[in-house]
Amino acid sequence: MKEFEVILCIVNKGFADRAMDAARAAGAKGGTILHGRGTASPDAEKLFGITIQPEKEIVMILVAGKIKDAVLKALYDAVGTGTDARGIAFTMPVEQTVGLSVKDAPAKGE
Amino acid sequence: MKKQAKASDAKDAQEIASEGFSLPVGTPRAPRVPKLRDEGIRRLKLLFTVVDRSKANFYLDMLEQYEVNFQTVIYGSGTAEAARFGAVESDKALLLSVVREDMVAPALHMLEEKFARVKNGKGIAFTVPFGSVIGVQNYCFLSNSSTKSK
Repeated sequence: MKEFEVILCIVNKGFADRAMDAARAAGAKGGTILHGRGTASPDAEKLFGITIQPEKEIVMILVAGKIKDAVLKALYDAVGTGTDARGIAFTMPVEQTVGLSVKDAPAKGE
Repeated sequence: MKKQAKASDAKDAQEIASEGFSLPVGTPRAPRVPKLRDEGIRRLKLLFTVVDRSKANFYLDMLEQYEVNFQTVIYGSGTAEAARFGAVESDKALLLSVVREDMVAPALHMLEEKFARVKNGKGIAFTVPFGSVIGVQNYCFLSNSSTKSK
């Protein structure tokens, strides 16, 4: 297991705070909100009867590997595809970090 | 010669079978794709650096010294509680830099020092490994290496 992982959570515009609150409750310390524009195949939208809201917010959260699953679960429950946020989240392995204070390193509940 | 070739083909097929595949004996083996490390090709990392927006250009210039040819900036905002009361800057910049693996350590060392010393220059940085890159020219550009040596 990696010491740290970065979680990228893409949600509809206006839901980044809800995502961040859920992540915090699961032990994350902080994050960065980026703005983006989503795209989807028009055919797929028609087929599945859904509309993809183009304006997106991307929440980037660096978390300890040990709490990654808990944070992902919290994000899925709070802003997952079953909610108005229509969020998806995934993680990427982090190899080296600098700039994190020592108190940031241990996650809540460890 | 033919006997030798047949023998080597059979050996190849045996090797493949031992790796969990089953090919008929005599099936010629595809040429081995050289592993990146065999060729001395250095891997790439994607360096994420989150700093105050006002310091984005400063850090971009700093990172350029580490043979970084491709960088991009995405503007965003921090989620620190203190930012809600205006105690810290909430406007942030995310710098994405493609760094060759041998330059990662010196670049991170420089960032660590600047985060500690530069006024309002605090930030975080971390690296994520690259999976793959398509195109030799792209690789050479991203890694700042010449095509002649490959």
